[in-house]
Parts: sequence; structure tokens; C-alpha cells
Amino acid sequence: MNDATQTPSAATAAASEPPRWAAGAGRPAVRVPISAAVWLPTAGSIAVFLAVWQVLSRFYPPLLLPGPAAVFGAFWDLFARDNLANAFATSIQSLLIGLGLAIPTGIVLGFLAGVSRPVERAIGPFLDALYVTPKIMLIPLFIIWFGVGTEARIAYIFVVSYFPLVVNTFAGVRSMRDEYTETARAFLAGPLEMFRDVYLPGSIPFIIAGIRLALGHAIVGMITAEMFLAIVGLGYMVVNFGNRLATAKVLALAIFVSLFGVAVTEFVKWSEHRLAPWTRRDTSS
Amino acid sequence: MDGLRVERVSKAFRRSPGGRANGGGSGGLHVLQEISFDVAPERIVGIIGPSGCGKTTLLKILAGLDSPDDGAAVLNGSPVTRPRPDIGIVFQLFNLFPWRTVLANVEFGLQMQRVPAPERRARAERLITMVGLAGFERYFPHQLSGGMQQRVGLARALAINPTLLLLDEPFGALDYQTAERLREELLRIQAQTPKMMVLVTHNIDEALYLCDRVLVFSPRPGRVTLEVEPRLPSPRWAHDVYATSEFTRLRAEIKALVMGAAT
Repeated sequence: MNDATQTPSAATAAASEPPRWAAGAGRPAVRVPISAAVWLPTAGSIAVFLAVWQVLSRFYPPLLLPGPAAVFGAFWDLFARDNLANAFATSIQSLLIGLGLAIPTGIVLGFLAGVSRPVERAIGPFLDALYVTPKIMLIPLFIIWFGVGTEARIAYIFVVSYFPLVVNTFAGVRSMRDEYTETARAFLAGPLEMFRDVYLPGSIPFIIAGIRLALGHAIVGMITAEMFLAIVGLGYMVVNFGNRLATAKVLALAIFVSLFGVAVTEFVKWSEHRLAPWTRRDTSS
Repeated sequence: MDGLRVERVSKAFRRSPGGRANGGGSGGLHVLQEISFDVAPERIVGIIGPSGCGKTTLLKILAGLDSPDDGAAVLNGSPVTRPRPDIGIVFQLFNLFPWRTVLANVEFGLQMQRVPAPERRARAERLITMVGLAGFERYFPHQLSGGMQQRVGLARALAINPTLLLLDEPFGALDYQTAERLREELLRIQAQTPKMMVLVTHNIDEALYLCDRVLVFSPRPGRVTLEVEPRLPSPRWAHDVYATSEFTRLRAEIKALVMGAAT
């Protein structure tokens, strides 16, 4: 790209110097159709996986390794006879409440630690402790405190998802480059504007990465909590079918949860493109 | 009193808090020593000198981003002690906010000054057109070339309609042709809407081409060792001023001083 070809006139400037990828001035993105080179390796590996699974399942009784078709059938059973939708709704409810509490409070605490060294030093040991402690050790404690109901599951999901939110938000604030704060100061930004127009937008990519990590931890936490202390939800279903040696249903549930996790992660990635479009480098990514 | 008065500005940096004195008698690294000069309205003054001569420190003091140990910068009768709405600044590495579009970057200063949205939009769009970026309002900085980014930086500083425009090596990060093109446009803009400007640079040709007066700084501590007023045919962009005898004479004079000082 070369400025030398420009003239001071606006029209020729726009015409002579479009960015590499631009279709036209003012149109920020062009979608490129996904080519076979992109989806073929993924689709191929899934096909090979299913084929190997199918072959292996012929050598073992269904109790040990049901084939893909049996697991697919178990899926329908789960929906039709075992009320998977209901269990899923119960699980999702505690997931949403736990995350709904952890996301705003974690972001606020991360922000405070980012802008204030005393806050950073004050919460540092607790964050380190939270990071290294196997959170599963807290479940008996939550049972003592909250019983075996929804509250204990929410508390557990909150605890497992809190750390990445605080740490990522903190990193986002601390990574703010001096040149941006100095520029904002030169153009008369006050404390409110510095927060709203510099630190907050500058931290969004970090915060979203934190939310993505927190979601992963929260889904794991949701199932763990249900397996330990609930008589409801997907986790309970897994334990129940496991005890009854319903291998196909256990596998179907595992696949269901992983598909759910992938869908949620993709949604967060998509919302990052919406909330932080400046991080999109070009159309190929 | 109209104009900018820089009165005996000195600045030293402490090497380390409580540490031993270094470089000067009074316990610090002397960067600027009793700098004095005036800038009249609608004039461009250039400051040139070897790196480490305190040029950028001086510019930060003029912007109100840093404060002098002694002396003062006085703009239109009032001392500059903090960033002010009548001072605009253009940075060497553009310092555009990557999360803001071209339009939002140009609007930034006006937004900070609480200019109502419709007015600030209109002013930003006018400035974007003036720097030749009409049609690029919705682009993000990373989608633009370096030259285009600095056009945005210029528009952002001009949007607040400053009395004083500070330029910190504004074309230093650009390739030769792009920089030359932007210099010419800066002079055209200056001819249309004249402003008081202070330009910091290490490029002798750039200083002579753009400025009404050029101050040559010595190495640390920075002092003004030479002051020249290039008398070049006007408008400068319409003539090959680089080939004039005045230009070559001044360039040789400044070069001898700067290079001699550097060795």
C-alpha cells in the first residue's frame, strides 16, 4: 500500500488506496466461501473415528463398547423416555445462575486489582490459593453449608469459574499500553472516560477469553456437582445409568455435554467478533 | 498575549529515587536546560537535535503531560500545567485507539470535551474529508496503511480546533514518499486554516521544509544552539525548495552542528 499514489482529493484517495482485502470503501468485511481444504480434514477425521469405533464395537459386547448406531439410538431414548430435556434444563439453570454471579463480580474484582496495586496485593494470596486448591475438595463443605440442593451446585459452579474471570480481566487492564492512556490524557479524558473509553474497550478481548475459560470450567463444575450431590440434572443421569451399566446412554450423555460445550464456546467466539471487531485481522480468520 | 512563550524551561530526571546524583550537580539527569523561545500565531517552529536532547520531553511539557522543574510554557497568557482543550497533539506512532473506528478516533477529543454528538460527528466528518479519508469512516486502524493512520492522527488533533498543534516526529515512522506527501498536505492545511505549531523532528530536511523557524538543540542537556528562519519560495510545496541555495546552505550549517555535536 502506498500513500504516494494518493492525491489530497477525497474521492481519489478512497479509490486509489483501498486496504488489501476491501471490496469497497465503507464495507468492513467480505465473506469467503469455506473451501473443501478447510472442512475436509475435520470431516475426514470424524468419519475415520466413527469407522474405527464401529469396527471395534463388533469385537466387544455392547455392555463394554456399544457401536455408534446403538449410542445414537440411546440418544433418542434419553429424549423420549428419560426426560433428558428436563434434566438439561435443571443443569442449565444452576449453570446460568452460577456464571451470572461469577462473571460480573469476577470482572469487577479483576478490574479493581488491575487499577490498584493494594487491591492486587490484598487478593493475590486468595487467588493463588483458589487456583491450586482442588475445588472438588470443597463439595463436602458446600453440602454442610447449603445442603444437597441447587444452592450447593450454584456455589460450586461459581467457585470453579471465578478464577479465570478475575485473572483475565486483570491481565487486560495491566496490558493497557501507556501510549493509549497518555493519548487519552492529552485529549482531556477524565477518570470516568479513562475507564469507559480506554480500559474497558481495551480489556474486552481479555474479558471474553476469560468468559470462554470460565464457561468451560463451569460446565465441568456443573456435571461434577451433580454427580456428587444432586438427585437431578445431567450429572445425576450419568451416575444413574452408570450404576445400571447402561453404557450406550452414558456415552450418549457424554457426547451430548461435549456438543453443548462446543456450541457454547462457538457462541462466545462469535460474540467476540461482534463485541471486539477490531481484533479481526482479515477475512481468512 | 497571543502566542506561545517558552520561558527558561529546565527539566531533570532522577536516576533512581534516593539514589546518587548523576549527570548534574543537583541530583539528576539534566534533559533540558533553560529553554526559551516564542511561537507567534500561525507560525510553525521546528525543534531539531540528536536523540536524547530532550525534544520529546519538551513536547510533553508543552502538551501539559509533563511539568518542568523550572520555568514555564505560557500559551495565550496562561501557563500550561495540564492537558488543555486548546492544544492538539500528533504522535510518531499515531497512537490511534485500535478499538475505535476512524470516525470514533477523530471524534475522541471532541467527545472528551463533551461536544454534543451531532456537532462532533459533523466536525469529525469534515476533518476526515480534509485529510483525504472520506469513505473510510467505519474502518478500524489496523485495516489502514501507516500513512492513512497518521492522517487519522492529524484529523483527531485538528478536530478539537486547537490553538497550538504539537507534532512529535509525525512522519518519522512512514516511508519516504508517504511522509513527503503528508508534509505537503500539512502545509496545504496550514495555508487554509493556519495554526501555531511546534514540530519535533530529527530530520533536517523536514524541519527546513515545514518550518518558519528552526531551533537546533544540543545533546543532553538540551539547549538552543542555533536558530534559523528559512526564507524559501512560497508556497513551498509548489517549488523545488530542496534545490534552493538557501536550503542547501542551512542544511549544511545545521548538519555540521548536529553531526559535530554527536561525535
